[in-house]
Amino acid sequence: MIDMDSFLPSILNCINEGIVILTEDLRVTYWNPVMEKLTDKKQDDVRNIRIEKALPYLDQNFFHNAVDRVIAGGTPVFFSAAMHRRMISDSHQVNLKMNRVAYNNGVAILLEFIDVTNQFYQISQLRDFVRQLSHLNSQLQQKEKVIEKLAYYDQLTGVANRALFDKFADKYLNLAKQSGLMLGLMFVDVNEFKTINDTYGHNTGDKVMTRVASLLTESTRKNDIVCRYGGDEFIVLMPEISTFNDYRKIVNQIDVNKKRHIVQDGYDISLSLSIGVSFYPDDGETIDELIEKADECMYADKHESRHG
Amino acid sequence: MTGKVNREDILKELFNIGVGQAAGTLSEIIDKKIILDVPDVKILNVELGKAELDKFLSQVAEGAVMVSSISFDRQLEGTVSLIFPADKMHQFIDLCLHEDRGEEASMEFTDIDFDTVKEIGNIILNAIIGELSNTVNIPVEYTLPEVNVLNSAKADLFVSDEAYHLVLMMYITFNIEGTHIDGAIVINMTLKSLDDILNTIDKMYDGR
Repeated sequence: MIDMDSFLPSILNCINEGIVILTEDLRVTYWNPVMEKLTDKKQDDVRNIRIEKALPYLDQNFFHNAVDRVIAGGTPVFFSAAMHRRMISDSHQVNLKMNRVAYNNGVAILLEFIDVTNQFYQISQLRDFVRQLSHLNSQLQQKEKVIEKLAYYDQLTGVANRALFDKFADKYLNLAKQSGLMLGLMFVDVNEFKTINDTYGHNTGDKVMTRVASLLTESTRKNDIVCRYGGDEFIVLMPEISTFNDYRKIVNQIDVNKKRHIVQDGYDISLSLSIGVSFYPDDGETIDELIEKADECMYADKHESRHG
Repeated sequence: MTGKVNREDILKELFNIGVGQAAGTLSEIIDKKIILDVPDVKILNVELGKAELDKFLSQVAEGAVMVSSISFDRQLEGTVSLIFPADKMHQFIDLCLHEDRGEEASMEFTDIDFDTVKEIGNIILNAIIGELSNTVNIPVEYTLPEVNVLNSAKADLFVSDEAYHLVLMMYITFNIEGTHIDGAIVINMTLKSLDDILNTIDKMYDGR
């Protein structure tokens, strides 16, 4: 038979967590080697002194109340390292389990200090990684936006480019076929744009082109697509047109700006637009047919404005 | 003083004394004012208990919960579970730990989170069972709570199907600095255990 009384200290010395045994009046009777390492306090230094002297953090009401409950009812108690950051020292995070242990005619209190410092370190590392990933992710999203902008929008004017036009043209044409509504396609050409460039310089010409794009965007509806189709050509896609009145509302807005003077870089510039429009299904079944028809109308308009 | 309503009122009073003490302890530990309240206690048979709990799980917790539970035996036998809606727990834990994880809040629960809830559960469940045990003078023995996260919790997990069991169902509201969290406490115990408690309560209050 093993004499457990003499064997017990050897067992407790092997346990890989801080073990402290207190008498009922909270004096330390046992303090194992792990506890010595965690606190830098030797068993001989703390034996027979009250636990709050050995571990000053525990000198609080909640600890004393918990001890009373453990002694009176044997209810187990748990203090987490998260809510008690400096339970035993600044450098070690520990969870504390407290249980009543009966012996002979009295009770002792068993304290188990479980070192979770590594957990804290790993979770903190994990949070840093998550933070970095989240930062990288938002950078990527921003870059994606820039790439999309470059891929689908005209760099000079900021309106859609031909790639975006192609994407929406098919979509809107299919929608029109399904819904039975009309799809309008407006071809807009800036008259004498070469002369504007030659007279006022390319820099001013670029600004004029940007202003035309803005005028068209402001004159159209939210779902209409304004696209820079070529050097001085724009196409406006107008989905969901149920009557010609819908279209008139848009074209009236554009008409206001069709022939006007604008001031750019201090120059008074005469701006004039030629416009042609076609509609699905009346003028064609495909986008190419609609473009061709609108282009024809636009040239007729240009011709009229030159000779009218 | 044998009416069911009055028994429920007495239990409600007992549990509120318990959670009041738990709130005091938690406030001292986290250094913030925390208010706990048990507005209602219901004694239900297993079937009604499950229906009531399923209502809470679907309406308040939307199925995902964090549960802190203990089993007790000896003279009183049963289990008690403290159930929180999981989606509020990151915020609740942050408030307790004086932290603000912000966009990291979508992270799964860590061991630190589990330990925090284990301590909170221990304080509240100790207070509730302790108050009950002290009042009726029946000792109860149990271990530290186990903490689990359940993604689609159903009442079956908390309420035993055995016919001789009853359910004590109560809601518990937490208020920390204006943040409000609704939880539930489910005590599932044998009919005999609850009878022992209620008979002792009847005797105590009839004799006063």
